[in-house]
Amino acid sequence: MTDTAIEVESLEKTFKDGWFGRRSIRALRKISFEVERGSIFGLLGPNGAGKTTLIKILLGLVSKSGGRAKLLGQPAGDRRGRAQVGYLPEHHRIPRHLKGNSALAYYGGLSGMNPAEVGRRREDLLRRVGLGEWGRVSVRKYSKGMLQRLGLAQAMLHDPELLILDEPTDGVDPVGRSELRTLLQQLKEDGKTIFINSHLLQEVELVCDRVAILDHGNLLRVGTLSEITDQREREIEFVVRGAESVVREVFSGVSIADWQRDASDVTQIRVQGLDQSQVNARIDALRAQQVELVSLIPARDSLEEAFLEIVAGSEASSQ
Amino acid sequence: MRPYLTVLKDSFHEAFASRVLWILLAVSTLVLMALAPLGLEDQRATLLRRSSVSDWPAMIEGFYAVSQGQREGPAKWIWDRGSDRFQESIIASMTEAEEDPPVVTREGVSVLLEELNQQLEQDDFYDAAVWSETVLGPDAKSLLERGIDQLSRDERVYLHRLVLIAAFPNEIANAPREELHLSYLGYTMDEPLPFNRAMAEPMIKQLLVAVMSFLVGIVAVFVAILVTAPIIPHTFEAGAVDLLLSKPVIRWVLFLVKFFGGCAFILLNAGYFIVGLWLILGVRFDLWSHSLLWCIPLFLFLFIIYYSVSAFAAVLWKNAIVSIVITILFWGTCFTVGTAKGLIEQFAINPGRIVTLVPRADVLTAVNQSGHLLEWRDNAWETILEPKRRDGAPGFLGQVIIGPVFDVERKQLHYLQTLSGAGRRFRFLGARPSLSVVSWSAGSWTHAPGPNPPAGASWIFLTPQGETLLVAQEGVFRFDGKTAESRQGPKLFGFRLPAAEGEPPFEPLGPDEGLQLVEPFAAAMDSQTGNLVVFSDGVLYWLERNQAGRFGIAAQRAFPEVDEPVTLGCTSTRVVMAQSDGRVLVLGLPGLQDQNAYRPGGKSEPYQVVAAPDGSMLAALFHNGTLAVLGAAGQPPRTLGRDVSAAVFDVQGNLLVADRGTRVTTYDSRSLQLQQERDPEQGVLEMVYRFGVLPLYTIFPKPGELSNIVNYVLTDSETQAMGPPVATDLRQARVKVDIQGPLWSSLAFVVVTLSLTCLYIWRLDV
Repeated sequence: MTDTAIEVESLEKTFKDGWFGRRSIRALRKISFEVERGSIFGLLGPNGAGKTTLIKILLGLVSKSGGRAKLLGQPAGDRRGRAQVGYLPEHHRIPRHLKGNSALAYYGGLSGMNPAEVGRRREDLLRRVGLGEWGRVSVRKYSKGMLQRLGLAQAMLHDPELLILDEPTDGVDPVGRSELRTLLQQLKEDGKTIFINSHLLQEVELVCDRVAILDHGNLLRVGTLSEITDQREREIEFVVRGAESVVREVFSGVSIADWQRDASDVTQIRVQGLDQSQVNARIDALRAQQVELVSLIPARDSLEEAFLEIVAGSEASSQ
Repeated sequence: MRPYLTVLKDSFHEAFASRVLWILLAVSTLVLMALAPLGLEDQRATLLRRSSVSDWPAMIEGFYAVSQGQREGPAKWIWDRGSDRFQESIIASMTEAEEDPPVVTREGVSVLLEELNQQLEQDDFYDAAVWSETVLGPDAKSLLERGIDQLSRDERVYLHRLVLIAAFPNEIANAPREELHLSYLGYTMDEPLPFNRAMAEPMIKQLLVAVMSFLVGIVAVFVAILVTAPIIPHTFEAGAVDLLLSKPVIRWVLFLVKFFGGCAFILLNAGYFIVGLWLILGVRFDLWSHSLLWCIPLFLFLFIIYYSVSAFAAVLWKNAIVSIVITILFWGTCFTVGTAKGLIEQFAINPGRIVTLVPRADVLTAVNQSGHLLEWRDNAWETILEPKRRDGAPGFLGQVIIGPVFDVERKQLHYLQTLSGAGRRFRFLGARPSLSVVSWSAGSWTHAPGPNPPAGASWIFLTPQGETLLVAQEGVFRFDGKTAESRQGPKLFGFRLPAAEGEPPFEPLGPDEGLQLVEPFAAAMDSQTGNLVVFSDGVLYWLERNQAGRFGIAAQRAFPEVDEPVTLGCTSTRVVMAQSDGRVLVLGLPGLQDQNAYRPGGKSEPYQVVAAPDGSMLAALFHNGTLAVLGAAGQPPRTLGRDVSAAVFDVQGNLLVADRGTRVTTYDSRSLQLQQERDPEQGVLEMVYRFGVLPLYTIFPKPGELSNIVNYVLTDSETQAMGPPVATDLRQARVKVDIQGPLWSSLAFVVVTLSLTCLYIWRLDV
């Protein structure tokens, strides 16, 4: 058994459109990354970035135009690989003639489970996704959030090695999202690999170990959250109390991102491009000039800020 | 396997979740509940029915003869007691007719029937003196022995009916002792059904074919198409298909399982309705027709044809409305092609199809299906005589031309023209056949009606001596060749003078044993000796002609298991008996012993059996177009052609075969090598048919023709009679029903359509 759940190497996809396929759209351009087993991996990207296409290639729903992709050690699309995958598509549609229980029996059967096995797991699973009382109710009566929970239950039903969740929190209320986060953590603790495709960056930030950012078919970044957010030039916030002229003298020649001073002689300065020795030198200089150091905060970006900056940078460079 | 079984199971789950299914099942239940109280009840016949009289013209003539003082006995008794209206009607029927037979109108028949039934109810109808010379049957004798005064009213009317039938044995030959009545919820209909219990089964099956073809083949299939049309588009909707295909399944297998799962709807509906019908037939009519259950897979297949188109369109466009529209367009195209073929065949091809060939010296005469007499002149068929429409007949459809035979000495063609469906079992309006004489004079053929043939005349032959013989109910008769007009007296100032008494036109030639033939009987002549073979009422008779020219029964053999009409052919050493189920028995002469049995034409009804003049060869032609040539004894038959409509051996022993409608090919009878071909130039419509409609029809699926297979499954018949629904004359034109063709072409269409759909799905990016 390999340590990687998903291997993607130089993956390409070009859709043909129009009469005789004369128009082509490049959805993925030589994508390469790996997802380790037992981790939670988030795939981010704006609309049309190629996220869903990537997932569909992994599951064999869409054929690739080039490159290589493996799922749990099997070529993408191979039935042996798919047998170990639980998939929750975006805007999934569960047949309306089914009830909660019969839907799980249906999808369990499709995954090769026998009815007894489904029966054993069904109750606990519905309870875990918050549908404990809804097993005998027709899915016609389910809300969007409940359908999403049922979709998650069917993905988990056959105890797969890998869960691929496309917008799993879509339509789910805040309480449900919190429950989902807990559930994903439990699954991770159980050794499952989870691949999430989501627009909700905060959600991804809260649960994912590693993240990939995709835009216009290009893989812009892949790495841990800190690696993604630390990519930007480091900023440090100094809060000092003392004469402004002295402070200005100490920070002369330093790239200032922001400078604010209030009435109580306190100055807030955000600076860029200082390494640790340069920071220490500035602290020493401030103390020597009798300027009080109120606080020193190394500034860290949110994922959203990092995402927006990376995507914007990509668009600027492509122009 | 489990994933696919899950999908299949879900299809039934989905069908059961459909309200439309329950509505259709409820409608089916209502129809079955409405049919369940139906039943058949045998009742003792006490009245005469329109169908009881098999020869209305003879009946009218009989009463007219009484009015002219030419006849005594029961007929005079009835005439004298009859009302003025009755007597006037009889006289009018005779005087209105300018020539024989008398005019038979529905109103005239009603008057006569009403009169007879009124008299049957009169207590003093039976008079021993009047009926003293009438041979009464055992039932009538038994009732008379009990004493008329001891009889109940019903028994007395029944006795009157029996003695009336005994007085008119030939005319009232179709009056069963028991009549079949329809009953419903314990109430019995007054009017009996126009068929007996033996005919009830095929009639009910015919009715079933019609009911099922409409209710299941059209209504249920159409509703099923509407209901199932969204299944495939929903399956291939975004969010549904990716969820399904993310499972460890093969996508094209999943599609096929989903497709066949979609058939669950029609399977449940058709299965419920047909099993219900099967139970009603079994319980209420004692007709446990297991073949009826075959209709379930047949209708399922019919639906599969349409559904394959619906599924293909659904996969392509992922829209239920589009797939319904495409399916309806497909249905319309199939219907148009099938209807165009059917109409051209019915109105342009079949009427011209040659059904009889008469080679005479160097001229070839033929009769086509519409009754035209044709002659081959200048590489074309020329009509020498138009068909003559029979009085009282609805048209030429269903009528049969028997013959013609060519009287060389008089240069005359003699033929009988009868209504189809004649026989003891079923008849719309009783009428005897007419005899026609077509004479060659002044460079053209002229038609003249012959004298009224003997009752039940059904076969006409030319003996080696050149005589024209008729085989009728009371035996064999020789026709003197004179027309009806030549027997009448001369006209003077527009008035016809009475004719002088002369020889009767038909000389009875026996058999001297007093054979009474029961219609429909079959006959054939050995062209070398002039001996006859006749099959009547389950008995085969070999009639040999003696030096005096009279016939006697030389051998006979009972075939109790043969209760359907047969067709015969014979030589001086062999008799061929082709049965309605397609079995051909070869019997040796003179003992009529078994020699061989074959089934060269499948289950098709035989049309004719012809023999070579030297007796070395026989050929049996079947309504499905198969011609089987039987050579020397013991040799298996060789089949020839697939669209043969007539065959005959000429005097040289060559085999003339009519096929493809109007083409006649001459073969050497021993080697079957082609010698001559008479192929007239084809008309525009025929060209369109052969090179346009027919190829299109061949490659197109034929869902509409699956009802023919339903008909075949229920009736076991590969052909359908043209004319009355239950015909007993095997010489009547029949339409060959293609059983396997529609099945195979439709199957090929389904396989191709599903394969293309699977291929598309296999390459589809969802």
